[in-house]
Amino acid sequence: MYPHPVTPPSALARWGTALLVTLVMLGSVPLAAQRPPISSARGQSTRPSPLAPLRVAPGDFPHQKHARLFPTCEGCHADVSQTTTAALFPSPASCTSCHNGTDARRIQWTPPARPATPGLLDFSHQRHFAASDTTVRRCVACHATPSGNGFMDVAAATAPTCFGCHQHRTPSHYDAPNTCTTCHRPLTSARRLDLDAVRGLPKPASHRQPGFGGAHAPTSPATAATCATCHARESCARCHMNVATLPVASSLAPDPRVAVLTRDLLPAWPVPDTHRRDGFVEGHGPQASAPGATCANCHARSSCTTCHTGAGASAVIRALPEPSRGPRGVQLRRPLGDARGRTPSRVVTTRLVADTGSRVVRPHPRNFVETHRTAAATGQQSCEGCHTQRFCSDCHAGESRRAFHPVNFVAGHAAPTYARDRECASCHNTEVFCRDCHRASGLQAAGRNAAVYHNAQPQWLLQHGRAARLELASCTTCHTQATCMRCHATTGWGVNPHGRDFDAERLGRKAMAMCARCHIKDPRGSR
Amino acid sequence: MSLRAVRWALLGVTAAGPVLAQGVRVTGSSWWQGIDLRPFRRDSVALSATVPSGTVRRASDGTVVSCLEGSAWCSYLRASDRQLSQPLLHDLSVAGWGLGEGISFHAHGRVRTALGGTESAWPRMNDRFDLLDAYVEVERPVGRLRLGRQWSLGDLGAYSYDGASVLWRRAGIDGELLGGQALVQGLNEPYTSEEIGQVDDLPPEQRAWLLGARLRWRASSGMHAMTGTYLRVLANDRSGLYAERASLDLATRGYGVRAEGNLALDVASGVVNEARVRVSRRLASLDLGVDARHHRPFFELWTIWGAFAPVGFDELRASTGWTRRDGAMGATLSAARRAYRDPGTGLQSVALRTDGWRLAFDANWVPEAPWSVVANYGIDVGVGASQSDGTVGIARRFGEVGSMGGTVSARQTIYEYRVGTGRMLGAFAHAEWRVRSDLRARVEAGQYRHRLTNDATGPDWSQRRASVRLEWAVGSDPGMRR
Repeated sequence: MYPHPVTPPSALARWGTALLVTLVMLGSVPLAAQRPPISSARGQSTRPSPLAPLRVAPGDFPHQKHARLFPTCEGCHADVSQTTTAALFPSPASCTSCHNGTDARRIQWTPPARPATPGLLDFSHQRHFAASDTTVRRCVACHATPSGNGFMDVAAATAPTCFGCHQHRTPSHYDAPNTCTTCHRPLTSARRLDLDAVRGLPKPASHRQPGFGGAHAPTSPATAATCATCHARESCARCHMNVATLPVASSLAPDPRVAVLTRDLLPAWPVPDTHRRDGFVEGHGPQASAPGATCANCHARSSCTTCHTGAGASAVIRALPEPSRGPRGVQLRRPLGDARGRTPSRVVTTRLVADTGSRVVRPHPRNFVETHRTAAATGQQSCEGCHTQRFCSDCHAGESRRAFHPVNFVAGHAAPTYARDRECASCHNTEVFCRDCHRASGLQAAGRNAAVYHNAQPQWLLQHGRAARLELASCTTCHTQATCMRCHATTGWGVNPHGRDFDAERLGRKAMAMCARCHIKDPRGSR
Repeated sequence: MSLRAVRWALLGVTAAGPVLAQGVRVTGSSWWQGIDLRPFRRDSVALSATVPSGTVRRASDGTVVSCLEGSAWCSYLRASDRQLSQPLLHDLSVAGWGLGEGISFHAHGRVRTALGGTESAWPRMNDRFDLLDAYVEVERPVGRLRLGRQWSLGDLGAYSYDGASVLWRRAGIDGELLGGQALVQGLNEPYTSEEIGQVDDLPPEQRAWLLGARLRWRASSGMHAMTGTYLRVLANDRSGLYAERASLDLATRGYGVRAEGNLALDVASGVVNEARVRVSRRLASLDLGVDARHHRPFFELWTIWGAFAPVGFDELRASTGWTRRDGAMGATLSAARRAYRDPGTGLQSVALRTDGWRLAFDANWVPEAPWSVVANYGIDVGVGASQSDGTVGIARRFGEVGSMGGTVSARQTIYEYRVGTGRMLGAFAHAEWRVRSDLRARVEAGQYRHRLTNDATGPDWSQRRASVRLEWAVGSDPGMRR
């Protein structure tokens, strides 16, 4: 740093210096008039006539020429410690007291104009002078040029000068934990920036990091203020459904420039990590119901009602916003069908709308339709949250739509039926539904002793007991009770059909009428 | 009160409801099908035209025939002339709400008609009208009351009844009591319905009452849940039971593992009908699962079948499903093996299988947004019947407007208890048009060629088939969309 004289010069020295400077300047006027013109602030030059006042741009004051004349900065910048910009510069009259055309060549200088509106930089000389650190209070601490050629070799401070004290905690100017508010005011106050300037604000690298969108919520008022350096309320409202109730978002002021810039930007709803965890979709109910739930950050009611058509989650959903304009939150919709030809009502896969990508949300695991039994029976997943009972009866009431079975299932239903891959009785009454169809198609024996159906087995009658024990449910889809009772009732041949673990006592207590179909007397003995 | 009176009373409630309710939604669907069928027909051939000797012989064309001793004729079954069946089913459901806080009513009816052809080829066409449910509901945070014809859905299946159910909720525990006149499971008719009498010569003689209780617990985290259910179907004169069943279901999740268990008991017989444990886990894009299961069929006690002591089987199944992160591709592979318990009866003139296995593969692919492709292959070898089949389908969506696609399939069936081995090839096309959000039409058409092999006797399933389905809804949406 440039060494600044701490002790002010004596009065004699001041007068002596002033006289010397005056003589030098008087003698140098003709030479100075032959020098190239002093460039204006914008680089334009004028060639003044020898008698015309020398025009000096506001930022081109030759401080070093006056180094011997003005021993302190405060001599000209008198109020620098008191105000921000109003009296930062001397008046032009203070220059013409010397540069009056007699003592020195007349000059034309106006102090830099004070900006009509504030910019993004929020600098205050007053605050810096108020700092307790005396180093900071010295003008050269910020204004000395890098070459440091002595007192008053100064220039306007640049950003790197600021960083000398306001040291970055990361190499990048834009990355956390650097604090923007140290030097910058909120964008909404920086009215000097036009639309292009706002559009040109740099995007920090952190904002491009994966996962930033899902975890950018400010964690403290300080970080929230940092966001405000570049963002306004409209920045949040672009995606967040609940700007009005979101503390940070609602603390930001609205800004018409940001409103224009975000108007045509699509909302982005990145999928938070929590949503990717196993079982999130099935188990998100308690989280959504808990106090402080953050669903409304991205979701409006319509996000939920795609699936939640039932009444189970209505209280939670009603608490979500339902914006009449602007983004409507993450939208889910159901595809119309798949290549299996299945009807849409049973396709529970939902797909995000195009503007948020084509990620598929799976409320249930693959093939849940075959394995939903326990989830539905236990209520671990609240079916009523999304489905009406009609959804269940569409399948479980059977026969009115081909919703569950694949195409042409009936032609090959024997194998899965024997194997009880799915429980037919969940939807069909096997006594009536199966037998009705088998009768119509000629498969039912109907008591005839045609013996051709099982004709691959010449001794079928002798071995049918094994088959019956193995797959009795299939036998009953064609054969009636009376067919079997011809042999197995006491009124017939009396062949005992009961197995080893048959508990006659127990069944007799529960359903004696069943026993009486085959037994004339109580088979349990003398009762 | 007679069933007819109950039915009319419920219809009266549903008819009066719309007048009083703030919101009503009526949903309907009509489904027409045209199906070619060639039912079996008994035919005969002269004994002299068959070879060799015995009760099972072959006709000159190789057809297997059955020849009774002393008869000059042998009989066999063959496919008869082609019959066209055209069932037309209409479903109409009504939901109304706004009669008071949490009060709503629901009704769902089904009408079976036909546009011609052989009506009997489609099951239950002799029952022209079914009232599937019709009930009034009072829903409050503390509980729920339902009155009317309703369903009880759970691990024991779907039981319907005319009666009442009361459910109360308290701190994660739901308790429900239900009772009323029982309807036959899967039939929605009383036990004395003619429908049973038409297919069984020993139908139940009395109506029945259904009594049930259910207790359900769910942890506040949603990670664990348990339900116990007890149902009893009691003959009208209380002389005995038609069914007494209980079930226990458990589901829990933790450390990424999901475990489920079911136990279904036939309390009256003291028999376990179903015992199943399933453990599954999602690993990144994979869904892994293992099932262990014991199954033994359940029969209601108005039949004699339960006394025939079926043995059931034990099964072990493993499955894995993979879904790409963007959902554009997925596949499932599963394999299972089952072993039947010793039936302990019968002669073994011909060895019957006592085990079985199954392998299935299923994949779907969405190469571009509007397109999707699915394919599956499965083979199931087991007691009674075996089959292998494969399907490939492609579909294209047209935004929200509709979709269309086609499927080709091939199947081979092998029957153990009868001759019927055959192969079938089929092609099937479908198109769907969503005219409006509450009006949708779907058309399907297909053709199948069936070839019986090994001189099999069986129904010729070669056929053309078509269906048209129309779904519509009017009235306000009972959800929260307006």
